[in-house]
Amino acid sequence: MALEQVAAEYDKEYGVDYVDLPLREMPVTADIHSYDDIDLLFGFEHGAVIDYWVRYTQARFDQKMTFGTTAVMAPDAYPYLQSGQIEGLVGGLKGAAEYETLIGQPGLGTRGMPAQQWAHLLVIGFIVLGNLGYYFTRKRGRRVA
Amino acid sequence: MGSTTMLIGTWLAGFLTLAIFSFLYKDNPVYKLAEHIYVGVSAGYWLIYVAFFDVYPMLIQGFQNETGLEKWILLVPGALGLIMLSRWFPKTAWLSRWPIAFTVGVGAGLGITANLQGYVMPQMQATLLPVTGWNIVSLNNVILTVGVITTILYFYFSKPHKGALGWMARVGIVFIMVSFGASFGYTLMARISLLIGRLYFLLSDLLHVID
Repeated sequence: MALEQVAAEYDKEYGVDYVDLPLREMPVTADIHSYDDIDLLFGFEHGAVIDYWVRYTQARFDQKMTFGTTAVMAPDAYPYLQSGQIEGLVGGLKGAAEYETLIGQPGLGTRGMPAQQWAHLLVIGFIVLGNLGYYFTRKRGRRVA
Repeated sequence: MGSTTMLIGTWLAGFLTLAIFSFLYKDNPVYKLAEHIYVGVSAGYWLIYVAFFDVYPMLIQGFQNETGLEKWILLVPGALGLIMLSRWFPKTAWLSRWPIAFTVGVGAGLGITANLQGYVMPQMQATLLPVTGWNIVSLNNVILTVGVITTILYFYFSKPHKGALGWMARVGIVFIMVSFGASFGYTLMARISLLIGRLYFLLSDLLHVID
């Protein structure tokens, strides 16, 4: 309901920010009255809120939107990207690193990628080891039986 | 004053981070303390958030500032909110079904159209892709179409999974496993990212070992 409220003079219900500053007096929101005044909506999401944005806002008001999500949420958001319901997606640390590379400003995302890469390689190694252990245990079990 | 508060906050955050990490060794009182603080702070945060950003501005201030029907209609959500608290008392607990029914009704009313309009139809539309031609786009479309159809067939339980249906259901399992693998990979990335973030905090903000 809150998302639908933005479609018509949202500041009637949400007129101030968290420290009671009127949104109408801020340059960034002064001329925004509804979704019609927003060319592109960018959301930083950590939960399933992206579903609400797409299903209530994009679908009903044809709002162009793009998201930066945590890596956990990214697989759930990719279908929206594939279907063209959202314009772009920055998924997790990888997405952050890709975006930083795209704009030519390496930051924390890019710096975190080597550690991320080695951690993934380690887990892949553990998965292979675990499967080999499972395979040989089962083989030995079959031989004993 | 500001820098002292920052310093205390950083050391407190460092202590709580290490306290949580101590669970890697074994469950202990320091970990329990950090865990309880985390749960308490989360609950307190949301209580304050709902009270000061929802209930107070929308209900109490709304009632004070509005006139006519827009003022008096606020008594309905106010009353429903109070009735929800009747769950605390066994004799009147049944009353709470009314606000729950109202919430479920609103959720269903909004959700059914939103899901059809914003999820089911666009996703179906995005699956109806051309599979003609010999190029990489067509190959991708074929994989997507086969994946969707076989995955749906895997969840078709009205007939035994034998013969052609069984074969297609097995193909569906492969796609489901690939999907689970992608989710697992991303979840792993998220957890490692959190770990990187915490270690960066410890080494940078707390110990100033790295920039």
